[in-house]
Amino acid sequence: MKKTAVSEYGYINAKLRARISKILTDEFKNNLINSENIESAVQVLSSQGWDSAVEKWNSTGDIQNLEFELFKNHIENYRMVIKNTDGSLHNFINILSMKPEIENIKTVLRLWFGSRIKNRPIGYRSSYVFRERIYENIDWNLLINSIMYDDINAVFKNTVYGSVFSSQKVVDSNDGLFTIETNLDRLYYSSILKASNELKKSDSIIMNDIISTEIDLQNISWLIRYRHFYKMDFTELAKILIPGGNGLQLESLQNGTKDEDSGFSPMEILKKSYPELSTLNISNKHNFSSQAQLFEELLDETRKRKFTGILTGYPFTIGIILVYFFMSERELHFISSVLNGKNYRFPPEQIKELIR
Amino acid sequence: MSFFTSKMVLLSAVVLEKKSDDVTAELLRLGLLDFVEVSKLFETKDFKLKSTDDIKNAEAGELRRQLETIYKQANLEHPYREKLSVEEMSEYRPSDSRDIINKINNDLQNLREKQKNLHQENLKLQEIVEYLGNPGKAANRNSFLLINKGKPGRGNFDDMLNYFSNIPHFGTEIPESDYYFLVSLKRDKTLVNDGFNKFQWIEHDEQFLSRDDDSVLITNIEKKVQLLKTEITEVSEQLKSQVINDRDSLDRLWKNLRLHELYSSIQNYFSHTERTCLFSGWLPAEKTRAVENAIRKVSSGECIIEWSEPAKFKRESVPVEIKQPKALAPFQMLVENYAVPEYGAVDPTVFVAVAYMIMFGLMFGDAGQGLVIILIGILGRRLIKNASAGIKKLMQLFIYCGSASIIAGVLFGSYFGYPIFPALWFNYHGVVSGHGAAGSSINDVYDILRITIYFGISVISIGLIINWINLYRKRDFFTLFLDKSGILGGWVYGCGVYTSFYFVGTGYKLLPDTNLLTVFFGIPVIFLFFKAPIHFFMYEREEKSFNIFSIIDFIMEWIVEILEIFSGYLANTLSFMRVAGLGIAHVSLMVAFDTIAAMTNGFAAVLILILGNILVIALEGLSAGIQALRLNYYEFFSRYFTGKGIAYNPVSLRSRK
Repeated sequence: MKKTAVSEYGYINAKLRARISKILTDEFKNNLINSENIESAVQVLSSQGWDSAVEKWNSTGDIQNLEFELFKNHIENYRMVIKNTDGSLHNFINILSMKPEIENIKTVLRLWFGSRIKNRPIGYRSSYVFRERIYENIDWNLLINSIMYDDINAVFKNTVYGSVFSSQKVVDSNDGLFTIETNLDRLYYSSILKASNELKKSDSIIMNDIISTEIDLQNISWLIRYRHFYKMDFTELAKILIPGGNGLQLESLQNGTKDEDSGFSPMEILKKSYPELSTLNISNKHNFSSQAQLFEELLDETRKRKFTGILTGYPFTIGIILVYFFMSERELHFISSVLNGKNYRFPPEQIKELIR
Repeated sequence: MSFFTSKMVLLSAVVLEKKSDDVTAELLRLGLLDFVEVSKLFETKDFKLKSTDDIKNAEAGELRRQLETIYKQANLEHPYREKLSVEEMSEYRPSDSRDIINKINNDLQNLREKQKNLHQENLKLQEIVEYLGNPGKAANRNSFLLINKGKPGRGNFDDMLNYFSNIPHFGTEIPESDYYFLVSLKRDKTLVNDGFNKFQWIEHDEQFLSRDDDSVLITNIEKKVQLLKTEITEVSEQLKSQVINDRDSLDRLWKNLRLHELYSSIQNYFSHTERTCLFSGWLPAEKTRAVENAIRKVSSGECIIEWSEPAKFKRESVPVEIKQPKALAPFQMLVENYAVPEYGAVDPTVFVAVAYMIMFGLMFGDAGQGLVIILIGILGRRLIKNASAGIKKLMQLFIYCGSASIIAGVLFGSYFGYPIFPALWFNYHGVVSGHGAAGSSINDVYDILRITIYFGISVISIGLIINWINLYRKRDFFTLFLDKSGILGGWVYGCGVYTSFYFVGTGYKLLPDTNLLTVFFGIPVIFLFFKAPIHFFMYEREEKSFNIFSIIDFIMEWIVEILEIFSGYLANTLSFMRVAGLGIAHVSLMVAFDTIAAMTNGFAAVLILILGNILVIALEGLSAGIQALRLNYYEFFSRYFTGKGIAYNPVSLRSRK
C-alpha cells in the first residue's frame, strides 16, 4: 500500500524538527564564542548534550578526538534517518550520505598526499578516519595504507567512485588533489540530482530548489578560489563547475570566456537567476573577489530564507530532512572552528571573523 | 496561605558614602531587596547622579566562571551557594585572583598537553596492534606491516626509536640476543629506510618470524599498551588531584569572588552624589521594619529612608512575590511555569492545587495505582541524588497525584482495577461496563460526562470570579463590566448554562421563554455593541481619528466578540469532557487487561495483570497529569491570568544569577 505523506514523514520529521530547534541557537553560539578558554568552551558543549564528545576531550585532551566524535555523531544522524525511512526516500537519503563519506575520503586522500607526495608522515592521524561503512563498501584500512596511487585506484575500483579515480592516472605535487576532489563533489551532486527524479514530484521540486542553490554556492566558492587566487581561466573553470545550478551554467561560462576582456562577469549571469539580488552592484570587474564573496553571503541568506520557509510550511515533505542535514553539518563546522580558535587562544572577535 | 500576591513596598534610601560598603554588606546579608535603578524611578532626564562602575562585577563574574571550569575539569562541584557568608568576604585583588587561576590553568594545560601526547602515542601503537595482534587478520599484517629483525650498526636502538617518533612503530629486544624487532607500517617505508640508513641497520640473517618471535612481539606490545594506558590514567588522576589538592584555597577564592560579584551587583544600583549614595529596591511589606532597622544600625542612623506604595507605580513594574506554604510548592511551580501573576492579583496556586488534584483523581481513580505513584514520588525524592529543586517538586507532585488517585479510587471502589471494597460514591468499572449499581445516581457514561461538565462549569465560574476580583482591585471597571471574561461575559455564560440545562431537562424539546431569552442574550449583545465605541472614545481618541472605517471596525469587533463569547465558552466547557474520556479510557484499559488475564491462568494471568497495571500507570498517569495541566492552563487561566508580572528577585547570597 502506498504510504501517505503523513505516514512517510510524520515520525521522522517530528523528531528532526525537535532537533532542529536546538541546533545553533544564538545563546549556544554566543556562549561558545565568548567562553574564556578551550576548557570552558568544551563545558558549553556539555550543556548542549554533546556528552560523548566532551568525554573524549576529558579523557584525552585531544581536540581532534573531540572533532572525530562529532563527525561520528554526524554519521549517526544519517543512519538514524536512513533507518526511519523506506522506499525511494530511503534510497535517496542513502545517497545523501555520500557527502560525509566523500569528506572522509578527502581526509584520507589528504593524509596520503601529505605522506607520500610531501613526505609528512601520517602518524596518529589515521586513527581519526571513520572506518565503518557509510554509503559504499570501502576498505578503509587498505585505503589508509595505500602506498601508490594505483593502490587507491584499486580500493575504489568496484565502487561508485571508481570512475573518478580511474580517470586520473597519477597525482603529483603540482596538481595536488584538486581534480579528484572537485570530481568527487561533481559526482555527489550528479548522483543526488539523478536520484531526486525517483522522489515524489513535490519532494523532487523542493530538492531541486535547494540543491540548485547549493550548487551555485559551491560554484561561486570555486570561482573565488580558483579564478581570483589561482588565476585559472574561464575555460578551465567551466570544466570543473557543477552542472545543475540555477544560473552558472557551463555554456554561459564558456561563451563568456570570449568576452572575458570586455568586462564579462559570471556574477551578471548568476544575478539573472536571483532577481532578489539584482540590487547588488557588480559592475566593477576589478573587484571580482569581494563581489563574489558578497554574492556568496547573499546567496547563503537566500538559502536560509528557503529553509525558514520549509520549517514554517507544510511539514510532511523531504524539506525538513534536508534542512536538518544542512544545519547539523553547519553546526559541526561551527563547533569545530570555534574550538580550534579557542585552542589557539584566538579572541572572540577573531573567531567570529573565522566563522563568517 | 495567601490568596493574593504579597504586598510590596519600595525602599528609597540615602546613606553617607563612607557607610556605603557597610550598608551593601548588610543588604547582601539580608538578601531582601530587588533593586531598581534610581534614575528609572524618575521620568525627568536631567537627573544627574553618578552611577557605580560595572567593571568590578563583570570581572569577578568572569573569574568565578573560569574557576568553575577548573572545578568541572576535576569533576568537582563548586561550593554551594547556601554556604556563602558575608563574614567570609576578604579584600578583592583581581590581579591576585587572576594569577591564581592562571597558574592552575597553566598547570592543567601542561597536564592536558601531556595527556594529549600520550593519547596520540597510544593511537599510533594501537594501529600497529590492530594489524599485528589479530591472528584472524593475518592478511592485514602482511599487507600493512613491516617487521624487521636486526640491530643498529651506529648509535643505539633507543635513539633509533626516537628517530621514528613521528610514525607508528614498535621496537623491542629479542630475548637472549643483541638483536631487536622493529615493527612499522609499509606506508612509511621511505622514512623507515631513511632511519635504517642513518643508523646503519644490520638485518638479522633469519628474517622469518617464528612462533616464539610472534609471542615475544605480542606480549611486549601488550605490555607497552598497558603501560601507556596506565600513564594516561595517571595523568587524568593528576588533573583531578591538582584541583583537589588546592581545593580549600580554590573554595575560598570562589566564595570571595562570588561575594564580591554580588556585592558589586548591589552597588551597581547605587547612585552617588559627592558625599552620599542613593539606592532603591522593592521588598515585601512585612520586611520593612527589619530592613529599616538594619540600614539605620549600620549607618549609625545617618540615613534617610523613604517608603513608597506600589500604587504610585505602573503595576507591571512592581515585582511579584508568591508566598505559599511549602506544601503547595509543586503547584506554585506549575503556576510559575506558565507565567508570573500580575502584582496585586489573586494568586491561583491554591485553586490550581485543588482543581489539578480533582481532575487527576477523576481521570486516574484507582487506590492501588495511586499508592504506586506515591511510592514512586517518595522513592524518587530519596534515591535521585543531587536532585534539582524542580525534580524534588515533581516528586512531591507525584505524591499529591497518588493521594488524589487513592481518594478517587476509594470513592469509585477501584483497587488495581478490582472492586476489593465497595465504592463509596459509584462503581466506575461497573458504570463503564454497563452494569452500574442499582439505586446509584450514576448509571452510565453520560452521567460521568455530566459530572465533568458540572466540574468544568465550576472551574470556569471560579476563573471568572477571580478575574472580577482582579479587575476590581485594579479599578479597571471598563474591562470588569464589558470584557468577555467580565460581568457581561459571566452573564452570558450563566444564562447559557441555565438555557442548556433547561433544554436538556425538557428532553431537548423546549427553550426558556422568549422574553427570558431576550433578557439572557439580547441585552448583553446590545451592551457589547457599545463596547468598541466606548473603548475608542475613552482610550484611543487621541491616537486615532474617527471616520467611516472606525464604524466598520466597531461592527466587526462586535460580531467577532459575540462569536468568541458564545463559541469560546461552549468549547471551554465541553473541553472538560476529556476528564471523563480519560477516566473511561483508564477503566476500559483495566477491564481489557482483566479480560486477557482471564483467558490464561496461573503465572501468565498474574504477569499480564502486573504488566497491564504498569502500562496503565505509565501511560494513563502521564496523560492524566498532562491533561489536568492543560485544562488549568487553557480553560482556567485564560479567564483571568494576564501573566504580566515580573518575579521578585532580590540580590541575596543564594542568587543564581
